[in-house]
Amino acid sequence: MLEVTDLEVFYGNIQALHGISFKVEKGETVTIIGSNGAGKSTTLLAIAGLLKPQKGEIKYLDKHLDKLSAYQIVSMGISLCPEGRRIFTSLSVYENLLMGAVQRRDKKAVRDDIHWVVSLFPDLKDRLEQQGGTLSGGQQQMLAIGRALMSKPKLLILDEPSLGLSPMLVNQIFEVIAMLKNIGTTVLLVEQNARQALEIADRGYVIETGMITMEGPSSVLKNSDRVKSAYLGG
Amino acid sequence: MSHTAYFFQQFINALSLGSIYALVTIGLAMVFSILRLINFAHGDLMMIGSYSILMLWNAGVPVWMAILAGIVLCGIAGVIMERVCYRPLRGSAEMTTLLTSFAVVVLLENGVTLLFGPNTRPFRILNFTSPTFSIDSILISKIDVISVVLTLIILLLTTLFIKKTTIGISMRAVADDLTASHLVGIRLNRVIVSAFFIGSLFAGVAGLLWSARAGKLYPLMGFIPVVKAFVAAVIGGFGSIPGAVVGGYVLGFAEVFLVALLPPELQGYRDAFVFILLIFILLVRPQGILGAKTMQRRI
Repeated sequence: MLEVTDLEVFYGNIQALHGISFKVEKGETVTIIGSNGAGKSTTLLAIAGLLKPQKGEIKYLDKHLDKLSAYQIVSMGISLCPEGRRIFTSLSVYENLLMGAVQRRDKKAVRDDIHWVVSLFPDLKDRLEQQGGTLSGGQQQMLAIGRALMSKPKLLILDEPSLGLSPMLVNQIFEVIAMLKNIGTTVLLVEQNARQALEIADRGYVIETGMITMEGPSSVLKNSDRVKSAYLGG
Repeated sequence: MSHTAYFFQQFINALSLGSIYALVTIGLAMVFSILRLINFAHGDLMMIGSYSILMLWNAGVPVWMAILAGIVLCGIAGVIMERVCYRPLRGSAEMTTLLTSFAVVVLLENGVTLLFGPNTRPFRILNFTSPTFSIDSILISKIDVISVVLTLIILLLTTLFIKKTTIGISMRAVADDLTASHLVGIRLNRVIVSAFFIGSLFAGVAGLLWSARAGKLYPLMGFIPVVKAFVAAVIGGFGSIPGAVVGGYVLGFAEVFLVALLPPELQGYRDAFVFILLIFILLVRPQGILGAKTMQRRI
């Protein structure tokens, strides 16, 4: 479904990605794990069309994404829930969700989907009219995922959804990801929380200083000594 | 004239002037909130609108048709301005686009001077300045009534637009977080073009009211209103649309009552006092009345 080959991205003179290759098949949940600054978010922003790669290619459903604008990539069915949530703080929760569906014309179905998102995250139920910026960190993360779902993506990309959340909220977020996986959503999950990410994913990649250093089924990665010592705390 | 009557008369004047300022400032604020561009050529859109109306009317177009067409032309002029002057500079430093807007000012003002001459022309359509009614020695002219009513209608429609329509909510979203707007799939160009179009329509209306009030127009007529709108935007909080409205009315009232209260020999310095007010606000509350505390850099 998504195939990234030899991706190189620079910030000015600094090379952030040194030829990244990976793929995500339809219906799979794939995780990319790695520490801070390894190039995870850079990779995702390049897929979403916000960063232009200097080399390599990004193919999605056999079409090249490299030359497309961000909104065109969204219209092809890719939705990125960014690191740091980036909800619209001055818009209401309801408006945030509406903006997630900004390209859709089926107004009635959009309303139904807002109900569906609220059923996934009951915390948002009584807060639809509240300003996004007044939500707690956990609620903002839920809203960010909900907003990403509103475009009905074929491929949902989540960038560090558990960052900065309490263990209970992390569990809640991962429960929703498991549910999305069960209903057949293709998910690309980028995480520092390697344990839970590998628990939920079918396959995984390890990214270090802009390069993929390991890849394989989650069950294999989980038991690899290198992953254990570097990302699972021994 | 009694004291109360005099006060009431000034109140009407302030409301009427503030309405025009509010209309100009909304356009400035809309574009700024999205692009971080202070479009000083916004005032020249007023001028283009007024000239269009006058030229159409002189050519024999029925007056209401001329007004409508002139305002729409003004909207189109704003869209062309964005496409030709600002879009190629998308992503460049704010200083670059600011200086570009001054270049656009020079270009438009000199262009119109070349085409129609530097002279002031009378703008007396519909007898706008004639009094409609008077209550107890207070004269209320047509232009005052039209300015206030029209502005209120426009404010109401603008509120509905930015609260209820997809493109209106998108505008607020882009102003809020540009990156997130890209990620949800908002088409930035559509939002920017809409902001320029709507802001320019309002500039067209403001141009009509401004020229009608003064009973004249000339190529440089947009300069003073756009500088005033800049002050109003600072007062209200730059980039905030409610702030633009508040700022517009505060400025209208400040000006009218300054003149009313100052001794006659100081009245000529009205604009100087307005700019002292600007400096004062920039020193004391740079984010304006309704502005957010911090303003992040974007685009």
